Amino acid sequence: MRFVPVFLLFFTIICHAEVAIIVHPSNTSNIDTDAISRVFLGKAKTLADGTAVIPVGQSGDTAVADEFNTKVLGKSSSQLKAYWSQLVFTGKGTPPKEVSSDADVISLVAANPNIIGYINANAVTEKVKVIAKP
Amino acid sequence: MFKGFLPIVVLSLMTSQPALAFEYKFNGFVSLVGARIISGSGGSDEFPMGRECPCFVADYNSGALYEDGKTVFDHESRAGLQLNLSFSDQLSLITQVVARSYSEDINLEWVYLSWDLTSDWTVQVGRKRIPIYYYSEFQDVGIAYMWARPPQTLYGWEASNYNGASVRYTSSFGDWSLRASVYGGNEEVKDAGYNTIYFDEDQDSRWKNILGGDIEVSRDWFTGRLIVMTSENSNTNRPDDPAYYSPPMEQTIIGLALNADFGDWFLLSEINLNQRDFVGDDFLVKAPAYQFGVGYRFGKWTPFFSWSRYWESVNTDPDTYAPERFIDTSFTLRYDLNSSMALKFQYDDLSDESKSDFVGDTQLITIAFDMVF
Repeated sequence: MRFVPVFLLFFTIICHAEVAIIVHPSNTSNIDTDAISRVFLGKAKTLADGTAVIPVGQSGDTAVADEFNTKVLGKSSSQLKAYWSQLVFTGKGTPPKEVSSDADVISLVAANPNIIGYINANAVTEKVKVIAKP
Repeated sequence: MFKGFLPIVVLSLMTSQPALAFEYKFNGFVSLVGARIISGSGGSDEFPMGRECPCFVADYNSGALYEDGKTVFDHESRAGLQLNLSFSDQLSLITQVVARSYSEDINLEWVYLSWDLTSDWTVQVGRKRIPIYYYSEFQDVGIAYMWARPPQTLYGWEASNYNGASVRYTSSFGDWSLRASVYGGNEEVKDAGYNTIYFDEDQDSRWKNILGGDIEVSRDWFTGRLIVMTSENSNTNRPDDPAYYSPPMEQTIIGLALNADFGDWFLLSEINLNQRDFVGDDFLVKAPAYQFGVGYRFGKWTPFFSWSRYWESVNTDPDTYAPERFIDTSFTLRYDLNSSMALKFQYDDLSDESKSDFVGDTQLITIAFDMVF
């Protein structure tokens, strides 16, 4: 009977990119997914403890961005574009900078304690700290 | 390598050192909109500019209106281009120009300097949109909302922009996010499009001493926005008098928008109380307006139902001022071609309950293609 859950787990892994949200290893702030969502939607520029935080996303056409947007922000790519269009064209905000690979996100996060990013969970290295796998 | 290297340089400039040069970014939007009245009745037979009603006002601000029996694509179609020049982390210049098929001019809708005093406080000086209604500031950007056009029962007056300044405060408290602003300025519109709906002769409009504030709070699925604004409005009265009518009419607006978005289901609502005190002629026009909408997202498809009502009452006889009253019931089907492009099909049933012959009752169908880049 045990093969069923194992099969389901495997199925989950191949169908969805598992996302890891990463920060600099020195970052000890307590960050929950709601706070991450507010930062990536431009609603907050600091964490609860007052630390400044800079979100870095990945290109909208990547599976990991899609997964992050759906799971953490609760928005489809169309909804997210509509949301940012309201802010961009009214001078109220700009979307997070986007890079095009997990390695780029890791380089940025490893170099700056204020940056928060997300990558495929299987790309995590010791240069960064995983704070959530939503 | 190069693709990754460049953002790293830009980010490290942004975060660790004062920038040595400016950055720039272009964004833009396009909406192609066509519509046709499929049936209608009533309406004035002496409508200004020789236009024939029953008719449907596409855009009060430009004065574009759909006449019976004509399919047109040049009343609401538009394209906008925004350039954002950042001189430093704190200081940027934003310019947005919009070309509209209905007018020959390319309009400078926005041009302002934006200065972040702190991470919470921003000062902006220049030309901006007046944030009267929830969708006012981005009503040119079709991709950002559900309708083919925000309901004209609420949206659209003589002025849509102002020259002035605003101060904004953005913060979050626990799970709540807050955005609040105060603004002030003036606007003068030569040969205002709005006035072509009412007068044969071109008339200028002026909103002086615009003063307003808004506060928006959001948490999870909830967004609420409260606004208050006052201004002193006047028009020219050609051919009798090319000067602005004095004393100006005193306008007061209070508005509340409450939206709920549960991911698939969403509810939109807006209540707006507009009061226009014609102090020179000793009468007062009160115009409560309401809009309620509900939609459901099925993947790329979103059916959306909306009801809106604009209902003037006046404390003088209808010969002095005939109250305008409308109910617009609409159904929109939006299809997201991809994250940056959408098609919309909309049916509007407009009931004209005004106390004089005006636009008449109409049923309108609209097709719109919206994109951003």
